Amino acid sequence: MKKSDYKDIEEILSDKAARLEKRVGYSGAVRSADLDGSVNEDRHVRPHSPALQIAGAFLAAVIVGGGTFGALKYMEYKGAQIAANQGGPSEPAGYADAAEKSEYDQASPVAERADGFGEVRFINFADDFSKFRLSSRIFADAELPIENGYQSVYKVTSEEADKLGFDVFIYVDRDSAHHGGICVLDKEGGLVMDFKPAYLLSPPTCLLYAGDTPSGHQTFFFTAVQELSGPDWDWTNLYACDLVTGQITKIGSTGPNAYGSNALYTTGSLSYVESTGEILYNVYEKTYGTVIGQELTADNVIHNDVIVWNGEKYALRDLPNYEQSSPDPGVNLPEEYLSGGWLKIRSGENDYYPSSLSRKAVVGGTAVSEEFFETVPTEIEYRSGDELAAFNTARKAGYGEWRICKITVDHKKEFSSSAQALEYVRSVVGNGVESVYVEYVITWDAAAIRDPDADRWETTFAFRVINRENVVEGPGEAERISSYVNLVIGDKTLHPELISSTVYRGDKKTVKNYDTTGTLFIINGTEPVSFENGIYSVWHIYKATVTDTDGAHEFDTVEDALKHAVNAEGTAHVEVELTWDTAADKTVFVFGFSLIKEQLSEETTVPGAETDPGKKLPPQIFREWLLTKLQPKMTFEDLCQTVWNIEAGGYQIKNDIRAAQYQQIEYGEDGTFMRYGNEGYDLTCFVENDDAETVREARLILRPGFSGFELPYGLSIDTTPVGALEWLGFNAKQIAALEGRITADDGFTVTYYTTSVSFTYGLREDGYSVSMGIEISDGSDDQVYIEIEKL
Amino acid sequence: MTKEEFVSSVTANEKKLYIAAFSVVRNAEDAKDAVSSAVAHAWENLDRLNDDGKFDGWLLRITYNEAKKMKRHGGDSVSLTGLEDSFAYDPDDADMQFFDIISSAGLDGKSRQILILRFIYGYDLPETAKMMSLPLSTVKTKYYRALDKIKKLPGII
Repeated sequence: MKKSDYKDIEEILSDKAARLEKRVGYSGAVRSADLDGSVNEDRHVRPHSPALQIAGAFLAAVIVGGGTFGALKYMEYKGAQIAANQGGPSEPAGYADAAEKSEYDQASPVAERADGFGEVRFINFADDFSKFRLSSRIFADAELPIENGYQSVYKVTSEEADKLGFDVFIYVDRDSAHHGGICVLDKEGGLVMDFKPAYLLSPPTCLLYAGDTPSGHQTFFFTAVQELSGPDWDWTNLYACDLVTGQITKIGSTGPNAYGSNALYTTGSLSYVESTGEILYNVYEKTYGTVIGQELTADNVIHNDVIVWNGEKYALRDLPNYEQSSPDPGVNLPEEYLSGGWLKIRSGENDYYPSSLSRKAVVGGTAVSEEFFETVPTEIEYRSGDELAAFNTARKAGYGEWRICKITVDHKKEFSSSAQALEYVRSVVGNGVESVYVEYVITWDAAAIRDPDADRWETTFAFRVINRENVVEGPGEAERISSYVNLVIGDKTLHPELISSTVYRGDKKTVKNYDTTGTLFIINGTEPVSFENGIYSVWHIYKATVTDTDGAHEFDTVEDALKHAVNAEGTAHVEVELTWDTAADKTVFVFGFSLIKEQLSEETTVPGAETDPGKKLPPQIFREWLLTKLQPKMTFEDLCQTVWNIEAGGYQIKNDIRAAQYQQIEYGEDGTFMRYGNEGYDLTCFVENDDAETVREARLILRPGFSGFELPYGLSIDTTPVGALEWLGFNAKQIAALEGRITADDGFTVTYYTTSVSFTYGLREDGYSVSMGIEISDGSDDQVYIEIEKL
Repeated sequence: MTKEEFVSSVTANEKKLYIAAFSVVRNAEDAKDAVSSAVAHAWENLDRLNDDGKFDGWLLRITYNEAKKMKRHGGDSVSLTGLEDSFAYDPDDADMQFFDIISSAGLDGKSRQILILRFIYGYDLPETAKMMSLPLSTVKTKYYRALDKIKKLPGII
């Protein structure tokens, strides 16, 4: 097919693209005004996207600050500005403020605020934690992809709240229900208030009012969207949160958004009127037609009221009609909100996380129930100075609820265990296949190396050990264990060595040792979302034994055992004997793993590596080995089958090749681009995982003079430039032109010479792609590389 | 790249990034989130970008990844309100919008990225190849294969 054959489709796409851009009624994705959904009067902002709001401020901040630290400062400023409602609605993108905020970059304090009004400071923090790997970097204003979906945490502070000793977090749990909430922590890490109503969509739009309030208590007001079922949806409510008592009361509602012949959409927003000191609660309404994009009305302010204190509670000065005429759905009464949970978190100097959570439901100041949850810290979410906030999941079964605890980091402590969790997980996939495994997660965090003044924290020595043991249970089936340990030190991952397993069933004891060399090398793991998990906490740990060069050492707790193992020289083998059963005839599991302390280097063969040179080889050996594979008359496909077993699925081997790479190029977050080469060839392999397909592609670039391959189409690596051009279809005249004088448009005449030709062969799963590169020179040192492809 | 250049580049391409993200998540709010997250990621990782000339493609790629990540993790479902807020369909032409076409063609991520750089951003193929740090031959191959697939879509021409 000639290129001209594509002209029509290119024109169609160009037209569609132009129409697309033209028709996108796009109001700005990165925009500082989005930070202030509460005061935005120009348009409705569906309040589900705090990341967007924060990112807008973040982008603004990077202009004026030196990165995250500056971003936080700017957000502090911006928050104050929002609080004072000085910016007005729908400012241009936040970065337009750069020039006028330049002085703020000079570490100036918080911008001037309206009297009696606190600052609103949003801090979005996240990490690039993947499920099975502890990242060493914590930075601000990004997303946090973790199991069960995205989660983000925003910290909202005010000077007044700070004086009172409170930290306010808004967290967003983007699980399937898109829930989110607010929690308030005291300075000791205790969770004063955790507000996560079951029927609210997140996040709340928050406006912190920390001045002297009519109630005499510091209070902040926020709106949150309440998800309704049936024909109504997205009822926006207005709440007041008393920071002293933690009590939350509903002040008003916007009324429901309704589907129907014409969809009605209402939303509420908060704003502060500096001149009067009033807090306004505005309700907007818009009616949509039945056709997507059809707007029957513009935004109409249907209610505009002031929040007042009536002596008993906060209320709107004039109740909106909706409050009077529309029934409250009855699922969000204030009492029910309070029963959302009061958590008390044990806190202490060296406590990195609470071993258990007490969740107490309090109604009217009286505790009506109390539950205890064992907790499993999941990810470090936020770190500021000596404080660390982490999500904890209180899981009884299945996916649990996420909670936040604040942790005091002891900078003087050289080495601390931050988490301990043993879980017995029974997973059932959709087709009924069941797997049972033990998951042990322990994370050490050498907090001493963190610099609280830095705008980015780099953990130079922190690692996580994840041990998963798959056990097949059932009559007639032998116990099987296939474990691995990923030991991540900094950005290095060590591989598992020996796993031993002892399974007791009553008096029956089965001991097995497993050589995990070359198996179960999993960094990214598998997505567990398709599993129905039953997760059980360890009932009892009998003992933990560490065997190192000094012999065996027994410990009562796994944590102590691991502390010893980590400090042991060389390899230490850890065995833990435990049970999940509460029955008298307990099934006792003993699982073990080895901690290997040597840190990998490029010159170090991975422990336990097989002799197959195709796996886990230092780069120089890999290159030598590759050269031995380049046999005369070898086809490129043969080579790829040799170095990269595509038939068997190249991903595993790809990882092994990566371990041997000496030159790696990573683009974005793919991390799938590898390149090897020497003077004669350049081998590139990459894997692209895409929604549509997984593409594994190997490309070999052969430079002139390199030999050893049988090339298709009668070509040879020694094909001359002229021969290559002929193969490409150039006629003699055209070739002569390439080797002759070329007059450029500006009249400047250059003499070009074709100097060399190289071939690029790409092997994809769907066939070859072949191209040649022709280097032409104008006689100077500079060469122009022209790549020509025969389609 | 300076901060000002960074912001300038983002500003210039914000809408295009949004479109690219939207083509994946089909949800205005998630698309915005993806763009925002991508911008934050890009800023944090700017030191990894050796060639400023590849910034647009790099940021587009990150945006794509963020959008895909968001989609995998179950972003918001399509919201009527979100669509109306940020994206106006022409209902008479809804089935032939640009990314509906490339989506219908079942293109891989790189191919879609190439088409977006080519048609939305207006880069030619050599520029696109540079943006994506791919050999021009690969870009061409993917480009023309993509056009082939699109051309075979019923009712496209």
